[in-house]
Amino acid sequence: MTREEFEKSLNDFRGAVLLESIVPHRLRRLLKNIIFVLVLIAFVLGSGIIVPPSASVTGLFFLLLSVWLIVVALDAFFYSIYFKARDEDHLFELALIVFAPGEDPVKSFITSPQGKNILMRLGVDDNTFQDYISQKKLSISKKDLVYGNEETLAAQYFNALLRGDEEFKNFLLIHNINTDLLLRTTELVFDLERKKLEGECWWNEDRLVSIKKIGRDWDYGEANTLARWSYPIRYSMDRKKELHAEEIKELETLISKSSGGNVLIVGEEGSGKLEVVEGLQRLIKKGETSPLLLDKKIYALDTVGISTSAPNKFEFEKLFIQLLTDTVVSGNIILVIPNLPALVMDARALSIDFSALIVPFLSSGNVNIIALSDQDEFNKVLESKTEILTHFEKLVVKGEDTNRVLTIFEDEINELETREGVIFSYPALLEAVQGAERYFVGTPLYSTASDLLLGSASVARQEGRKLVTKEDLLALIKTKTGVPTGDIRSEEKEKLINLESHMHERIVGQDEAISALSGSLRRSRAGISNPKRPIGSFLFLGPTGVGKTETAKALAEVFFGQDGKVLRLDMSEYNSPDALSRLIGAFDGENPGVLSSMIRENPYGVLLLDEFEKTDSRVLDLFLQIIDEGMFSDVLGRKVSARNIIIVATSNAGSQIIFDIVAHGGSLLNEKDHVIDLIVKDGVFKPELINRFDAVVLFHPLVDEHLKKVARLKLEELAWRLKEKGINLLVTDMLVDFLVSKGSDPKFGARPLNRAIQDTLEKVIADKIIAGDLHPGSELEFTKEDLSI
Amino acid sequence: MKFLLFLPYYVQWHYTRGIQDLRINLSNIVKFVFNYFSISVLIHTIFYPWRRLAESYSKGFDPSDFFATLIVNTLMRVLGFVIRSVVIVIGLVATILSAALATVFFVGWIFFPLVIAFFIVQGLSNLI
Repeated sequence: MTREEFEKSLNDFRGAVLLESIVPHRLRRLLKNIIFVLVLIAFVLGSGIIVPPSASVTGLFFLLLSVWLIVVALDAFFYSIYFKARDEDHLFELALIVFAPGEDPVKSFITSPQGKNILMRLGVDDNTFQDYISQKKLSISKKDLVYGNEETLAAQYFNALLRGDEEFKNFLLIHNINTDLLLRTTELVFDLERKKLEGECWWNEDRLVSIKKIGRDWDYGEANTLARWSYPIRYSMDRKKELHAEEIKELETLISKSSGGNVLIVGEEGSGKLEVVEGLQRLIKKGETSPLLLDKKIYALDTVGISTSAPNKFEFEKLFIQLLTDTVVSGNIILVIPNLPALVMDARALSIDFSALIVPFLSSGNVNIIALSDQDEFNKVLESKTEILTHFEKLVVKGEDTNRVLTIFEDEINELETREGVIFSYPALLEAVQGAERYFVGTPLYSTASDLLLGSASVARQEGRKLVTKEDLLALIKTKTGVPTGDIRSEEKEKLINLESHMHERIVGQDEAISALSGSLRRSRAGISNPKRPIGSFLFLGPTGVGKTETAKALAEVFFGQDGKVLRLDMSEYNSPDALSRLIGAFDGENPGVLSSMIRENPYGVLLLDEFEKTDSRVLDLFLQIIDEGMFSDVLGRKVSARNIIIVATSNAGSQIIFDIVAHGGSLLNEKDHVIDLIVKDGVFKPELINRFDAVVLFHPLVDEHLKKVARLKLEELAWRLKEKGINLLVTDMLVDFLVSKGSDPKFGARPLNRAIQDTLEKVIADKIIAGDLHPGSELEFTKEDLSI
Repeated sequence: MKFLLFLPYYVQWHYTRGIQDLRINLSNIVKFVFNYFSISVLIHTIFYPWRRLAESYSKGFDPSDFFATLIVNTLMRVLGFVIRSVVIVIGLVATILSAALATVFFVGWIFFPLVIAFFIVQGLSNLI
């Protein structure tokens, strides 16, 4: 599209834009209201009711009246142009930006009220872009803009701006704003403007229709008990896009059966079951339903109140029957039971058979009941109650997805901001929803995102800030999950770059393993690894005692900061048929499952699976899934996310082959495939399981020089322990050699070293301490005599 | 002045879309007034018992019971009739008034410049 064509398509708005530049809408409204009051006063004074009429007051009245009429006419012009239906929304706001005065369109955008609003919503604060404007070198002209052929005019304009002004584009990118984000935020800002304007138009058909009319109730009966224990469904009239349009239509159809339709709405928590009912109420209010529903009112039962005020069987039954009878008698009520399973359970607790209570009414055809239930509760409580279910039509509300939830928040943002007293930037909103989906798997998306927003708002309030930014959300997520989010800070950066050397402080040799682990961590933190898998998954193969477990622990300590973040499972304990249920939970719901609880409580850390080959085959299959998708479902079907976990499985399989290769001087790296083939042939692991690991790492046996290093490390640990007692242990080469000779057997790796230290060194030390030869402040150097004992 | 530039846009609107919009809005308001009093519904249900406060006839035939119920029901219907009729009358009057006012506004819109001029002249002549 050319520039002429583009501007031509906004021609309709030129007049209104011109008006706005002369007298903006806000000012017109203010004038309108002030002058109207003055006109009234002049009328009262001039008409002679209170004081005798005077010519000047009458004159004033007429003049004011004419001014008022002119302003009203101007506003009518404005509203008419603004609200005329077009192919694309918000063209007027776009026109305000496009036709803003000034040669440099970027500058006029940034300084315009719309532009300021949009940039604020993007999380860019005023000072930042004031600085930008003052330092701006490049200046483009409107004539230079080149328009493309994007779908919407708004997209065309902003893309043209960003194409034309590289500096501006980079300025935005530095603040993590791309074109898509810019357009979405613009859409949100325009939407909010529009809602405000709609609120002013009391003469619109929608608004008028929602005013309560006289006389509708007069041929419906009183419902006293019902009035006490229920409340009308709360809903807002201005939903532009119905989120659950299909479900609402379906609800309407199901309920409109002439012989009393009853509907059971089932869906995940937060999926919007009540929203669907609210949508139906909106339809009824607007008069867009079948005649059967036109005068119906929707009331929701206060089930909690009922249960608390009717503490025994008799009261409960009496109250409940009275409520239903009232519903029948009044004839125009659709009754909503917000949580049917809970009501059934409450009744059961009082030894009441709920079915016997409700079925007579349901089958009479004289009631309309909408019952709501979570999916879980439905399965647990209602599925077996077929006598109730036959009278209900089931309506399933699909689970939430991020787009839907985001749209809900965009709609509610006004209320939210008024309640919390803050303003949310659009990136903050996005991060709340995306963060909830990514880091809080298995929780209802809407309520989790909501909690995140409210939490960030409270933090911002405490810090005296009005704007909640994306950083606030990330900080909150980090606090709640322990997963580091956001930009990499300097200390973390140092750790990431020097992972290998840090780990080598604890591990001797095993360069390949350390390198593989470090690479995986760096990829994850840089944000380029696959977010739908664990951070990394590794299979460590090798002889016992060479550092497989130690490496995983070192990783946890170096990177995750505390040794405690190693979630260790000894898989040899899980080789019985009930292993799987011990891990993911038993069906009776009492045991939540070791693995599920572990990961839920520590979503960020190292999962160490020792002796992996020893576990039951079904458990191996479970891990197949976890490694592949980063998620699994526990016994209740709730999802557990392992996407912020590093999985390290260790196994002694293939140790003999490894020994042989090393004994013949071969390279483990080159022979890796050979080793793996042999393991698969032996049936230790299935090939598809091995394939799923990010890396299979072979651990080499420890030879003398390694053993010496390990010995030295362990001696230094001993020395450190002794230092706490005030004893200074000298670690000499002789001591190291002694230890290596005493405590090494390649077959057992470095483990014998521990025993050697215990049996020889620690024994000698203990004897000496007890005998009084060693006390705080003394120095200990082992002599040959000490060691020959 | 910008205002002079603006005027042509306005005048064009005033006598095209302006009239259309006004017609729609005014008729909405009149319809609203009519519907507010639920006149058609009230006429349909004019003899219904008030708020369904009626008794049902018991089984069998007991003269005193029967006549007692008959009297109560009749009274409820009379009550309903009276209240509804009053409201119907008020509603009809309100509707006619609002229709009249709407017509005045509509005419006023068409002769808007003259109306304004008239008011200004009146105002100035009274002040001086």
